[in-house]
Amino acid sequence: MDMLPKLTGRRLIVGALFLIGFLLATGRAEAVPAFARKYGMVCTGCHEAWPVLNNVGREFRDSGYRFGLGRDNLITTHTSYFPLSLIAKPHYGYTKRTHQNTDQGLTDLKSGDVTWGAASLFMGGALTDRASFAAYLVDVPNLSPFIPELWVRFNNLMDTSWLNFKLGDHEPDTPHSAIRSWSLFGTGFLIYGYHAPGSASLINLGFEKRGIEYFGHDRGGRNRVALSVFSQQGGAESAFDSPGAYLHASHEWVPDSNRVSAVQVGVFGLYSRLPTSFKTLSGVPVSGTGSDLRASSKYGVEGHLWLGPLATPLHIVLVAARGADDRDLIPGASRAGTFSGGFVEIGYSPTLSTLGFARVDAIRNRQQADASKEKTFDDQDAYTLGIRHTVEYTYRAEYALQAEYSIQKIKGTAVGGLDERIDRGFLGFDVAF
Amino acid sequence: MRQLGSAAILLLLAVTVAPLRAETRSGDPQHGKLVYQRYCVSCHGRNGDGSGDAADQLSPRPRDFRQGTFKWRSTASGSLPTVEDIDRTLQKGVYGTVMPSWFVIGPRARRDVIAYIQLFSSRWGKEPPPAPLMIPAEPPRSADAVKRGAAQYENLGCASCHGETGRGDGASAKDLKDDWGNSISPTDFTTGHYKSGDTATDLYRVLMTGLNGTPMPSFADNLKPEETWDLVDYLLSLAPKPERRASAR
Repeated sequence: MDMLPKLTGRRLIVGALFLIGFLLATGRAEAVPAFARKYGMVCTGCHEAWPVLNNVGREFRDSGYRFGLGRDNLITTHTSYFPLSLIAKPHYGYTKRTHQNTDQGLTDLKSGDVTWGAASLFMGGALTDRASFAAYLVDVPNLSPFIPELWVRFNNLMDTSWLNFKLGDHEPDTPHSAIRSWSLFGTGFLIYGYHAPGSASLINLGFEKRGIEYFGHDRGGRNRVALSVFSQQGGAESAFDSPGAYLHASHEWVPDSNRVSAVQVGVFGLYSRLPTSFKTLSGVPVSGTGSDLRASSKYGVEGHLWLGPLATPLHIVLVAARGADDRDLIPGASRAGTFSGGFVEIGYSPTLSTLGFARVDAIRNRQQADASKEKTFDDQDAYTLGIRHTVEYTYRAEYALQAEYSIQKIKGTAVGGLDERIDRGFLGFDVAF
Repeated sequence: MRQLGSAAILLLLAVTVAPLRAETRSGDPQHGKLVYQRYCVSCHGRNGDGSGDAADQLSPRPRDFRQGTFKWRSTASGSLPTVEDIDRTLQKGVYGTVMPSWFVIGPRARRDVIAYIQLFSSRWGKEPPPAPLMIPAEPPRSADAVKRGAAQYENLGCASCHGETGRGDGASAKDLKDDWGNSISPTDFTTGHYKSGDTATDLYRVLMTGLNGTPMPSFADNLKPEETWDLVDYLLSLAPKPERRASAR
C-alpha cells in the first residue's frame, strides 16, 4: 500500500500512452483486399471504416460476395487474379488482470508483448453466379493454425434473393459483427457469449458456427432475415438431435436526408438444447452420446442509427438481450439462471481515413441459478475506446494505425469473492493486402 | 443496465426528434465530394478523368466525366443527361462491367454525388437543362412485331456491328472505338443482359438517343415509335428467355 501513490502516477502515464494508441490480440478483422482488387474499388467503398461493413459491403456480402452484374464469376476475371488476402495486426498488446491467485497470495497478473495478433489468410468469392465460397486460415501466436470459417453458399435459388443457403462453418448474422469489429483487441460484445454463471452452454454468437444458414434479403438489403441451424458442442446421438437455432431479422430505412442517413431495427433470438448427461469411458464423457437435453436461450433487439452524411457517418449501435439457462445445465443449481445485457457502440468517421469509436457493454444477472450467490455475482461492465487512422488505402492494400484500450469489470469472480478487473491495451497496425 | 437503458432512450430521442425537415431537393456537391471519394475515386479518378488507380485494370475503362459525355440518357443525341438519367445508371449499375449498383446508398447520397460529378464538366453550367424523351406506351408483343423488328434490324444495318444473329460479332465489331480511342464491343443481344438495363423501355431509350461517345447512333430520325417497339421486341427475342425479359417491363 505504501507504493500506491508512485504506482498511480505510472499507471496514469501507461494509461495515457495506451489511450493515444490502442488494441487487439485475438480478434479477427475481416477486410478483404481480394475483393477490392477484383472490382477496382477502394476499401471505403464497402467499409464504413475498415473492417465494419457499410451498406454497400453488406449487400455485397449478403449476395454471396457478388455485385450481380456479370463480372463476379472467377472465370470472368483476369487469369492472374487470385482471390487471396493476408490480414495481420503487428502490435504491442498489454493485459492486466487483478486479484489472481498465486502460491504467494493474491496478485495482479500483467503481460505485454509485441505480436502479429491473429493473422488471417482469406480466400473467397463467387465460384459462379449460383455458388460462392469463403475460407479463413487463422494463425494466433501459441496456438495451432485453425480454420474458423469455411463455407459454400448457394445463391438466389429459384431466381430469388430470398432463397440462399450457406453450408459449413459460418459467422451467424449478428446485429453487429464481433468478428468484423473496429475493436481489434478489446473486450466487448459480452452479451453474444454470456451464459448464466456455471452453465455448460458455451455458445457464443460472436464466433462461427458449423451448420446451415438460410438467408434472404430484398434489394439493397432493406429487409433481411437469417436463420442458422448449427451443431452443438458435445452433441447427442447425432448433430440434428440437439441443434442450436439462431434467427435474425432486420429492416433498414434510408431517408432522403443528410442528417439521418439510415436507421435500422431488428430482432434476434437463439434457442438451443444441450445434453446434460453422457455415457462415459473411464469416467470421461464420450462425445456424441449426450442425452437429457436442456434449453439455453437468448433473445433481443437491435437499433442502428447513422447520423450525418452516409459517407462520413456517426454510427450508433444498440443491442440489448435477455437470456436463460436451464438449471440442469448448471451444476449445483436450484433454479434456472437468467440475465440481461447488451452494448452501445458509437463510431464516428469525420474523414474517410479517421475513425473514433467507443463501446459500453453491460451484463446483469436477474436470477442466480445458485440461490446462495449474490444477485450481482458475475455481473460485468466493459468499456472500450479506440482511435484508428488509415495511413494509406488503395484498391490493392491498406494499412492503419490503431490505438485501443478496454476495461472489463466482473463482480465477485476473483478469489475470495473479490471483483475482477481486466485491462487491455493495443497499439499497432492493421495491415491487409 | 442503467447505462444501456439511458443510451436506448437517447437513441430513441435522436431518432424521433432528429431534424428531418425537408432538405433541398437538389444535390449538395460538398457532400457529393465525400460520396465520390468514398465510392468512385479509385476508378473514375480524383479529377473525374476516368483515370483512377484501378482504371488501367478495367475494361471498359471508367467514364471520363470532364466532357459531360454520357452513354445512357433520355435526352437527344449529343446532349447532357438529366439528373434522373445518371441516377438510373447509379441505381442499376452497368452490366458486364465492375460498375455496381449504388441503389443501396439511398437517394440523397446519389443526388449529392451527381451534383459533384456535374462540376467536372463546364457544360452543365453553359447548356440549358436537357428535355427528356417521352417514351410512348409499349404495344402488346406479338410474333408479327418481332418479324417487323427483324426487318428493321436488317434495314438499319445493325448487323454490321451486332452481327447477323445479334451476338455482337458483326464485320466492323473489332474495329469499333469510343471517343477516347478505347476499343469497345457492340452489345451481344443473346445474353439477355444489356448495359443500359434489361427492360424494353431501356432498349427503346437507347435506340432513340444513341450512346454518346460511341459509334452507336440515335435512330430518332429513322424510326417511328411503333417501329422502334418492333425492333425492341426483336432484340428481346434474341435473349435466351424472352418471356422473362418481357415480364420485366
